[in-house]
Amino acid sequence: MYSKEVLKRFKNPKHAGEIKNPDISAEVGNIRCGDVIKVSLKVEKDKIKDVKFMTYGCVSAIAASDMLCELAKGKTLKEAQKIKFKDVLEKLEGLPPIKYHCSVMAVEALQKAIKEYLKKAKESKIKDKPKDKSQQNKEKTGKTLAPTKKATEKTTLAKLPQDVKTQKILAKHGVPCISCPHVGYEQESLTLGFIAKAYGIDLKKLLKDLNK
Amino acid sequence: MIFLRSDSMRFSTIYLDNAATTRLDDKVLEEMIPYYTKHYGNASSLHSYGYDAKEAMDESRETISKILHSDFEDIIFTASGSEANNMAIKGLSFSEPNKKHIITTKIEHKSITNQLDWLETRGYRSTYLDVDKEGFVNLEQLEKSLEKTKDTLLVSIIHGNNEVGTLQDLEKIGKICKKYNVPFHIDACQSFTKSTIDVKKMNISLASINAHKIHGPKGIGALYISKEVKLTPLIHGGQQEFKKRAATENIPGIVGFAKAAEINNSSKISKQVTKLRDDLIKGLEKIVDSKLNGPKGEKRLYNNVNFSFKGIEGEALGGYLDQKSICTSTGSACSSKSLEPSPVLRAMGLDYEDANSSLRMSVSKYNTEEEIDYTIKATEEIVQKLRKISPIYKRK
Repeated sequence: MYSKEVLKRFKNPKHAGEIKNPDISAEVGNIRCGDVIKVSLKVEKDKIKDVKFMTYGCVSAIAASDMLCELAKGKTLKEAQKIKFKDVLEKLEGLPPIKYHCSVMAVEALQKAIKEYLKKAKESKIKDKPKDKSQQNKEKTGKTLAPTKKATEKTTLAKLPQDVKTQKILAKHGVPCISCPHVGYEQESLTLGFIAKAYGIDLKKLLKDLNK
Repeated sequence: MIFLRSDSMRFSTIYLDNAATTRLDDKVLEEMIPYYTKHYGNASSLHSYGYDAKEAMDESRETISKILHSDFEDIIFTASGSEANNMAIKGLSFSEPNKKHIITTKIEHKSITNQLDWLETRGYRSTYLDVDKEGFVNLEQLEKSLEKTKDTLLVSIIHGNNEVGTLQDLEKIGKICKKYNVPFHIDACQSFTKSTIDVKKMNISLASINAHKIHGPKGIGALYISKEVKLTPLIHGGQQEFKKRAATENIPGIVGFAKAAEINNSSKISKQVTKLRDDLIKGLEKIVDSKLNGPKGEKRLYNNVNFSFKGIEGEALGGYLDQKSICTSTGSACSSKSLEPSPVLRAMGLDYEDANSSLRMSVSKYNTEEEIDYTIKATEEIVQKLRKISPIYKRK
């Protein structure tokens, strides 16, 4: 069921634990889903000097958390912001589709931590990060995209109408990412086709309902 | 992290997933082999090989019917417990097309719940009875439900629960069903030969059983069908099984099933396994912030242990135990397709954390005291390790 890399990471995680006096830490997930991931960072000159995780979760969640730390360590904040859940998946030599959300959550914990760190840094007026603004602007424009008219397998969660009706349709088809409030950072890369494949959802029926 | 296991100990897998399936007993296999290689005749054939097969089948049916206190001809062999469950409910629904209501519980096996989901798409209604915090069915609710509806097809209740081991009071439930003249089906796949079932005394109309949970072969089960209920076959064909289930009989399986049942129907084995179970429970209870799910003592399946450990996730614990060659099972969110934790534990009132933090260990006669001791130590060590990296443990 699990790849060698997943089992290796799970068995002997290199980055488990907590950094003493971290520059920032962030937590995502909830007990209802069965996973809570907390990431703490030590940052020096915009570089992630150290990163550790604390995880309440299954085999995949622990392995994904560890791999995420491995990928993030030594990277600049800007580089680390580009890490996507697919990178974690790839490095882990895959996860069972039903466990993809573990990698999504691990990445999200890191992104949340970086975002909060940058916010904090900005507030304390440390002005050695000129790239900050452009990054934030990008995010803004990403989120204000107008909902697409017709949903296809390539439509991302971010582009769906954010109304109750859509939520209900997604819930009816068992799209787990919707009941999970923590997919924020990946909304723009999670397509309906990908989610349907991962969770065994009938894409045709889902699209039919969404496009009604 | 290294766990020192004394070198004198046997370093092989410790199998604690006997509620999933069991090791075949050597004596059972021995009994089965001749029916593959020597007496391999078709029980319907009119020659000596056929008679041999028929005779072996009759003897096996006799053995199983005696254990259930039923009549010989009321035992119908099936290919599995799931088939028996399907035959009980669907078979009865085909015979009684006007009865569209089914009563069951919130702690059933998927071979019941998924069937009811399907029947609901065909106009059926189901009532799922609540259970208390130990998993016992609410009998007042059962009575009320029977009183309220006049078209109840049957009451279907799991005798010994597969996750938490709760054994229902069949005699009491049987009496209630009799009062309202509604057939009573039990899913006894976990409890057969482990807890007394007297189909007549307990007013049971249908009982599903199987072999592979009691050191018998896989691919063979049976359904007890009382003469008071009429079932329509699911499989049409030849005249086998008193015309209730067509298909050439699986004679080696049937012989193996009966042998396994005969061996397992013993108070000696019951005592031996109960002791292993209770030692395991005692040892795991000593771990800080651990909690046994389900009842203690005689009202629990003698091979079932189910614990929640605060602050850690069940599958991760199971994963580390597997690294130490200890096989266990989890019904937690991550292992199921729905990403929701065990409906059984939720029905018993466990919150999401406790439900996600649960692990089942099910013992058998092949486990030893040494294995139990080792498992307790290994579990404690892993629980501590996982709590060290748990962001939610002890911060409330």
